[in-house]
Amino acid sequence: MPRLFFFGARRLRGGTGEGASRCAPECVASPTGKPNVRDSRELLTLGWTDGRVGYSTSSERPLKRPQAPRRRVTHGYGMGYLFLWRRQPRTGLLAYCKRLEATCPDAVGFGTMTATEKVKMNAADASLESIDQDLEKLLKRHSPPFKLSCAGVRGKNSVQSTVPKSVAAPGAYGGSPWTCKWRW
Amino acid sequence: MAVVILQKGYGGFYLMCIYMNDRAKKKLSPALLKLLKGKTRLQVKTLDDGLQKDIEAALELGAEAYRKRG
Repeated sequence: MPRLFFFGARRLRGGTGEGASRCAPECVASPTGKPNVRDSRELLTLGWTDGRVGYSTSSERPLKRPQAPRRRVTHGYGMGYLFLWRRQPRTGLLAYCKRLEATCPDAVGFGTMTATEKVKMNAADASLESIDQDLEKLLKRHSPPFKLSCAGVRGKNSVQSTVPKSVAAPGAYGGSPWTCKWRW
Repeated sequence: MAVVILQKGYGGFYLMCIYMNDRAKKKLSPALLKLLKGKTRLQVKTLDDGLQKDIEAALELGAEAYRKRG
């Protein structure tokens, strides 16, 4: 007679099958046929007291938490086992992280991150910045009538002062002011 | 008229009124002519009061040139 696999742990309770005859009432039939001795006391030590009734066939069922209403595994081993892990609420994880924060606040990955300090510039860069600011001030003195705008150099501080009205450059464009003839 | 770009190792001051204009270039101070690299770029690495006045005079020169051209 082929060995029977019980996909429901509840069927094992008081059943008359082969698995029931081999295992104690506190055991769970596993797909390998070997009795999986995980009673409610062991589950309690592991911390699995949140309604995984499929693993325990004891008469005293572990307490169910109200946060996980669909935690009950009705089909024992199967796809429900995988879904059970996916349905874990994140409250437990957060609580676990908080506990780690409390125990090791200086560890990497736990605790609040402090703002990163800016990389200090060396003296040469600082002087160049000041030179750039001084030159910009000189340009700003002529900003009316000249227009002051960004030169558009990518990744660099750039300021340009342009004439408000186009003028003719000697020897260029036939002696007339350059006008944009292309449209795009 | 002029452009200021903060380059990697210097402050670039591009004075456009001296582009292909030798007369205007001759009016610049010798300290500024030392800094002139290329056609219009002045590589400014240190800025003291004397140099600042020279740059201001060069800007005034450029503004005057543009005013003349209308």
